[in-house]
Amino acid sequence: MEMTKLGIGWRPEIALAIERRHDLEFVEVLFENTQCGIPEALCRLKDRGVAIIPHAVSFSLGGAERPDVKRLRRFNRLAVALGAPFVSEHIAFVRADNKESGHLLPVPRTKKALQVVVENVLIAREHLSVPLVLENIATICDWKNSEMEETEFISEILKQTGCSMLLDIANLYANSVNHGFNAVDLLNQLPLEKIAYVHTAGGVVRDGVYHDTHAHPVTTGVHNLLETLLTMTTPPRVMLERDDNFPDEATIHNELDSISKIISNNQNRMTCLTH
Amino acid sequence: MNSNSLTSKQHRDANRTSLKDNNADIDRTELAEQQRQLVNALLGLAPAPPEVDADQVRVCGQSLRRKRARTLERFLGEPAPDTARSIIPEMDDYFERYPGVHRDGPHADFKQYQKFVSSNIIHQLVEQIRTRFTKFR
Repeated sequence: MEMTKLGIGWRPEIALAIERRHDLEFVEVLFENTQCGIPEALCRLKDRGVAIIPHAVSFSLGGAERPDVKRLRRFNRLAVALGAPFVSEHIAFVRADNKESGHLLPVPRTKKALQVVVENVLIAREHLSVPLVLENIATICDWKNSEMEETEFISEILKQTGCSMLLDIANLYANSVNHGFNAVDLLNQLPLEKIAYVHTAGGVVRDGVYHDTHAHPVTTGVHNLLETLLTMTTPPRVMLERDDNFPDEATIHNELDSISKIISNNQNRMTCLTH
Repeated sequence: MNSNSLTSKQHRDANRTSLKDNNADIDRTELAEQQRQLVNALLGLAPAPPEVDADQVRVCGQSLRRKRARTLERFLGEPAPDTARSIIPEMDDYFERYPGVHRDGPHADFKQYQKFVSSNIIHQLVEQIRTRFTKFR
């Protein structure tokens, strides 16, 4: 039986905590943070056999503009240099009207927009020598004129592009809280067999809105959703994302332990079922 | 296959579709207009578009602002917290002058913010000197 691998989002602030953790089989590095070269600590992880996945936040694959080919080539060079098995980016747009929002924003889920996203993803793939994996986002504002549910929109993009999915269950959880959906129903509507890896991250409720901050501990709601996901499928990889308000090493390791425990509990359950 | 790569089925899917298969003549203008309206609303430059709930836009806009401010604060960093505190009030003016994040990302946004703060300080000094000079004349 294939085991689910444990990973974490590599950030310079927690590089040592990551290096000292020997059960990590992959890390994710932000493409936008590698403009000055590949950090030595990442090279050491690579030499140790840890897979490194370049992850981008600024290609705006859901944007009306076509993705920047020069930057895509740079993304590819990074993937090749790191020996990455694949790269990932979001189903979102980040800029319009020559203005950067600084955030991942939802694409109107219309048939016309779907065509644009699919074309952008295919353009991106033309310039990448490794597969591109696509991630769902958390949204506070949403389009009233959407012709499709989020899960249908994502499924259709994956189907038409042949891409695999980076399932961010914290984002799914955030959307279920903020837009009043049942998160398990959302999981049931997604093509779970296409999952390449899973993100978990923390958030906080502020004025009745769940903010996917990546700066707080992973909530019980997200852990529960991960447990549910693991009863439905065995994702190849699960990782923790932490982008700000970095805690000490022990706290980071505790967060990873919690995820690891959920994975091994599920694996034990599966073993019992098959015997 | 490397155990860290995608499953063989995922690989097959990834290789099945290419740009050449996607021949549709895609009109991007409607999407561009919708996205232009939303980004301008989130940056406080225009009202919320009719297709999006105004309250959601307000909350999301605040969240974007908080995130941008927090990123700038992080770049200001630990070594000089007093300096950091003294220039944080300039952030609101900075956001008004540059509503969107710098195109080259958060670090470039921070560099632009530093320049903005420096030029404000110089401007204030020039004003002070001019005031004193006028007083003595």
